[in-house]
Amino acid sequence: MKENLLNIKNDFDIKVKDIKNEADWNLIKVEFLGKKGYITLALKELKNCENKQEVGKNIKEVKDYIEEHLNNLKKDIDQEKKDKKLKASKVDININGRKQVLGKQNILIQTQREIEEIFQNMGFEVALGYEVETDFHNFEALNLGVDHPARDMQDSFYINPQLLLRTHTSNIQSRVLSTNKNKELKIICPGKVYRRDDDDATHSHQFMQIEGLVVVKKDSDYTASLKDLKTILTLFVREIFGSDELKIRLRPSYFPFTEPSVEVDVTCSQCLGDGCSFCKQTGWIEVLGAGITNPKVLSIAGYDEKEFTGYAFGIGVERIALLKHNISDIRLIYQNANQFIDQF
Amino acid sequence: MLFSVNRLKELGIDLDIKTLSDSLFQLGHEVEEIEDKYIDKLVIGEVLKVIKHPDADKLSICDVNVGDKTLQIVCGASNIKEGLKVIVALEGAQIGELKIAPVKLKGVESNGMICSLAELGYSKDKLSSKDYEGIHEINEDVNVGDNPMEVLKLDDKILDVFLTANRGDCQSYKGLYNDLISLINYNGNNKKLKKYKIDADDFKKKITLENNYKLEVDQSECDFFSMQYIKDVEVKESSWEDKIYLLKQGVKSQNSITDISNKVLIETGIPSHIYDADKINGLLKVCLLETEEEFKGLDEKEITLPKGTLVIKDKEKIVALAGVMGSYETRITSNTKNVLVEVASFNPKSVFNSSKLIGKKTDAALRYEKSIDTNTISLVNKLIVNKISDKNNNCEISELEEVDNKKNDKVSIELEYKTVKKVLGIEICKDSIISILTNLDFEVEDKGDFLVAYAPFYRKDMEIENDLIEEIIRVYNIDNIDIDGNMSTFLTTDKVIKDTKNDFVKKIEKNLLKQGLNQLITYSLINEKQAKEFSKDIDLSVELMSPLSNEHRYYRQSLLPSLIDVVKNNYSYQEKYNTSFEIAQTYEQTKELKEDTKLAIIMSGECENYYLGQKRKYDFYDIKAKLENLFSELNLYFKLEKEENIKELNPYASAKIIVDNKEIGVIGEVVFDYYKKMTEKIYVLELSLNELKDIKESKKSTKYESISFLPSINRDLTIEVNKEEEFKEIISIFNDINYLENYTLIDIYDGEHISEDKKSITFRLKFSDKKETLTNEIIDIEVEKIFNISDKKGYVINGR
Repeated sequence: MKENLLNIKNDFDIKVKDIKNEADWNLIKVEFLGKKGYITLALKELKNCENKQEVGKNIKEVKDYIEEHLNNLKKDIDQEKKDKKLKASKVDININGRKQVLGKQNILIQTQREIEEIFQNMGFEVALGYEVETDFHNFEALNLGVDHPARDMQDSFYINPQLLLRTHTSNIQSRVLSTNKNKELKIICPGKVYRRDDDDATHSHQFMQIEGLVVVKKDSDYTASLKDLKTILTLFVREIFGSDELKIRLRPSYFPFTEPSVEVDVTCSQCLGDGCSFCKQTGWIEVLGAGITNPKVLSIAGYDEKEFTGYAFGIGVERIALLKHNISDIRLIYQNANQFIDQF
Repeated sequence: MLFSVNRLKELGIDLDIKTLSDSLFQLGHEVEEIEDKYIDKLVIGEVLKVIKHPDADKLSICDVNVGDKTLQIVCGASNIKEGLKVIVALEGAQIGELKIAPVKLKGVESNGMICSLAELGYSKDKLSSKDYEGIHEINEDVNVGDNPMEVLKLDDKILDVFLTANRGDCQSYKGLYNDLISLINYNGNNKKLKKYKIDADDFKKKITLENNYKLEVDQSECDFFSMQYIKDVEVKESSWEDKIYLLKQGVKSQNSITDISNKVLIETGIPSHIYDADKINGLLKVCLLETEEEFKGLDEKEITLPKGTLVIKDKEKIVALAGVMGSYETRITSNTKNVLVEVASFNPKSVFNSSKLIGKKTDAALRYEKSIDTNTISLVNKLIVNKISDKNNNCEISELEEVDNKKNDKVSIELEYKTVKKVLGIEICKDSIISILTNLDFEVEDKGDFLVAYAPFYRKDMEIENDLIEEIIRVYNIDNIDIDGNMSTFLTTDKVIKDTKNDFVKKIEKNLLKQGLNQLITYSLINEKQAKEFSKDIDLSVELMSPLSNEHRYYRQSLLPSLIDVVKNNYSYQEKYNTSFEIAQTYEQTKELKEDTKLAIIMSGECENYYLGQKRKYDFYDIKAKLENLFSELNLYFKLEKEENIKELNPYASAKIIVDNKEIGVIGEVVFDYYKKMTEKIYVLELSLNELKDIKESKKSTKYESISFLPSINRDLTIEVNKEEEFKEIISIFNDINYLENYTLIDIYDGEHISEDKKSITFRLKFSDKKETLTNEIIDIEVEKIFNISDKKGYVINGR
């Protein structure tokens, strides 16, 4: 019997080496541990043995030996099987994804939306208006009378003596004021505007402007001073150019609809104020015009200019987009070449 | 306007260039450019000998004494001659792009360059042809070896200062200087700089003649006019001093008489005009033209002046377009012997209109349009007459003829001190406020809580309280306003804007971007050809009165011509696919002007989202899908109806877009005539967002319908129909079928194994019920119904 068991073990050791897959493994398992397997047969013969206890112990040793081997082998086989299955899904991670194409927005509109959002987050409401506008709302209501010398600053496209393409979005300001007499206001007015400029790298007969207007009661807790204006515009430039380092600088200027009027320069983002070729060594870049709303504008719209005051600012969207994205020619925006659109 | 730093220094402003331009900046006068006229390594030389170059006709070989040595220099100027004193650029001098070094010119050594004024950086159009083409001949008393930068006053820095439209008073040395010293005097504790003084208290020469010219003045157009006759003057080339003064100001020197008028204008801001008196017949008359008349001005251009133009006439002709320019005929020439000096003040509006007629702004017009300081006119007249008599010892002057109707009311403005803080956000003390205004030439009366300020007469821009506050902050320094650290600027106000258009547009924008369309922005102004496309009638187009070019003449009625252009242009750069949209205003001029915000979509070329290999071109159903997806997000429904009348669209592949029984747009394939050079088809759609927004707002929000988790049953169905049969007709077989949740079109086939006039269509039908689980038996009944209807229509059901 002892010899028999040794043979079984030797036999197993030889056969187990031939196991290549799960089927082989099953056959061997049946051959040795199955109902008619060698171990089972040996157990059956145990009853005929004299020293059952010792033989039984020997059989168990061999059985354990075989089971352990087979179990380990099974684990390997299973692992291999799993690997094979996983490998079937192997990908080349560097091949492009199967994309769902998303549309791109012309950078000018992206910039417009960004600016709108910044001001909306500060509580401004968006107001829209007409691009073909009456002379009254575009000029007269904004303290630019028929003979105002400043009218030649913005030579305009007239359709007839009463109608023209708006030269700024302040026409919305004029309309909103006159329909909301003596109410406090906080609006921005985005839109296209037109001036009789020949198109070149920095000029365009059509461009986008965002005007802001705040009107408050003089005796309210809130003020609308040059200081407040400077503050809100500082917040704006920091937000749009993404840097808390930026400062703004005001310079007295002249617009008929504001008094005092200021030009607003922002720290040059290329050199942070040290002076470079981008900012012509000044450290500053001119970005917008602003000022305290001229009381005459309020009174023309029907406000009580003694009780109300406010400020206004006008942002050139192209100017911001060009500066922010280092675009050298404004005409690229209106050309809409795929290669241009796809970049942003 | 250009200002010479040296001239400002002469007047008493002794600041380094940085402080000077910072001060101007603070006052609101931005220095846009600083041009440094200094050139190193120049010397005054004398031409000792000139011989012709043996191998070049136009070149001369010169020996030039430059003080410490004699140089051989090859020169190409035709006015070179022995004995001339000239400006020599020595080795190492930088003349424009050229660095001077010894060279051989056609085999002859040249050790320097004899310079023209053009080479020293004065622009061609400001120089006489002699000064431009030839080397500069020095007539002044200077020594060989001197530095011409010093002795010829060439060394200077020229500031190009941007003056805002309200500060007409600063368009002169007098004006800018006075503004500058208000700042310097306010800040400084040293002795104060004095105001600019026009040094002409009286005529230097005795009046010895009668004035035989009469004056007639339309006083509503001209509130001051002075005229003086000067006999026996000599018209010559101007002195170097005057010439270089004007050159630095960017003004061309004309002659010794005209230059006086120009120089005085630059100094004082008061324009004047000097006529050849012998060309004037009897009188000067300021009037508005009663009929249109021809006029030839100093610029030698002939124009027709319309009725109502402000002119100056003598007995028979127009002698000047008032405030703009004199006539060609009465100009000063080298033969002029006697002159008539005119200093006047004209109606700014009339001058503004006259400027439009000639299409440019003369230096005089620039001043008149912004109003001049009429209080100084008399002085300026004296100044000019004195300057002429200084240079013409033998001349005689007449008595002064003058019409004075000017008003000298001073504007007074009240200002409450506390308002200053309200407007600026910072506190400025009373003393500072008063000191600033006083330095600015205001007369100030302190009244306790407020002050009364009388504006100087030349400050036409002073009207209201805020004007004064701007003056105060200009001098106080606007940089002293800090931002609010607490950002308490987040004030809130009532919501007043009811307009939701921007949000609606943004929603549409977002949907289309998600759908893979690019959003473009194109010009609203288009050309005539474009204006005729996709528009009802070009006569309904808004047309500009005076467009800059024909390319941008009409405000568009449709966005499609612009989008088609973008696609065509991209195509020409080998970008052969394009899926884009634009949202923009359009206008139509019927009885009333009608604004509409439109959405246009364009699709052309190869589908981009097909992956590795498989390719397909966009077609009608792709662009229709964009519309379906958009409407799905808006929870709206549209239907298409045949459209065969749009000439730009293929009648077999286009439709009206109908929403709520309202036609709001079109969709279809563009007829190839509009993109001849392209091989790709173009599909477009355009619809009115104003209409769509109205419809959307009239709808109530969508209500929840219960959903079923019971299993559904699918059946595929293939039918063969006539090729011409329309889809709308075919799907009517599904009307009144129970449990049919939806049907999907899986395939349309019209190839082999099917007769030529037929097509085969496969649908997948989905049956479901919310209450009970469906059985095949129930569905069989419904499918049988479909079969029966199909039979009646003559459709053949496959595999039945």
